[in-house]
Amino acid sequence: MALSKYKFTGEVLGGPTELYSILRKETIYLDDRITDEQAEYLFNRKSPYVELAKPETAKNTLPADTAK
Amino acid sequence: MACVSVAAISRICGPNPGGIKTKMYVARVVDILTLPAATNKVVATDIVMKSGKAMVAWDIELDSGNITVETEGSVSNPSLKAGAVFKVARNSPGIDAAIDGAIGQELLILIPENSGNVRILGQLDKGAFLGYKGATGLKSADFAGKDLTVTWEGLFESPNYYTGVVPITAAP
Repeated sequence: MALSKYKFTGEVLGGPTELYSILRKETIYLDDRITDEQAEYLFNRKSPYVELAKPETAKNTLPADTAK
Repeated sequence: MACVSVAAISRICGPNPGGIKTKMYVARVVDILTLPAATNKVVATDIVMKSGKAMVAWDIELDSGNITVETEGSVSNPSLKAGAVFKVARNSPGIDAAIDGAIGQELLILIPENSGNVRILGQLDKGAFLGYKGATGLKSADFAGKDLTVTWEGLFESPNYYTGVVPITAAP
C-alpha cells in the first residue's frame, strides 16, 4: 500500500533501498513495503530517508486590507 | 487475595550485560555521504551512503567480541584509542575475500552491544582499521576461522553511540 502522508527520499539521495533498525530489530524497505508506521518512525527521528509527501504551503500572510 | 503475590519494585539500574551481539555492520568511509554529528555522544540521525553503496553485515561468533577504550600517551597529555576484537567463524573463499577486501581500508564500523547500545568505530576523516589472524585450529573441536581486531587510535573522545538506522542495501 502506497504511503500518503510520507514519501521516501532514498532515490534522491542515492541512498539505500533497505534500512535496518537495530532499535526496532526490523528491516525497513524504502519501497511499497514500507508501512505508514515505519515511515512515521523515520520521519520523527529526522531521518533523511523520509519526508512529508505534501509539505504545507506557505500561507498568505498579507493583511486582508492590502489585497486587491 | 491471590495465592501468589509479586509486587513490583522500582528498578534503579537493572541488568548490565557485557559483550557484543552476533552481527556488526561495516562500510568504507569513502562510501559514506554523511555521518551526522553527535549530540551528547549520540548520533541520532541516520548515516547516508553514497549512490550505490551500502553497509555490509558480518556475523560474529557468539561471545567472542569485546570493545575496548583506553588512554595512551602521557598522563598529563593523553589521547584515547579504541578497538575491538571478535571472531568470524569458518574459512571459505567468500568469507576470506570479504575480509581481505576490508584490510587496509579506512572503515566505519557499527557494533551493537548486548546492552542495547550501538557503538561507532571510525570517522569520515579518520577511519578504523582491521587486522586478522586466521587459523584452522589443530583439532576438530578447535575454532576454525578468523580472529579479527579493529584499531582506531589518536582520538579526542571515546566511540559515540548510534541510534539511527543502518543502510544495508545499495540503491539499484
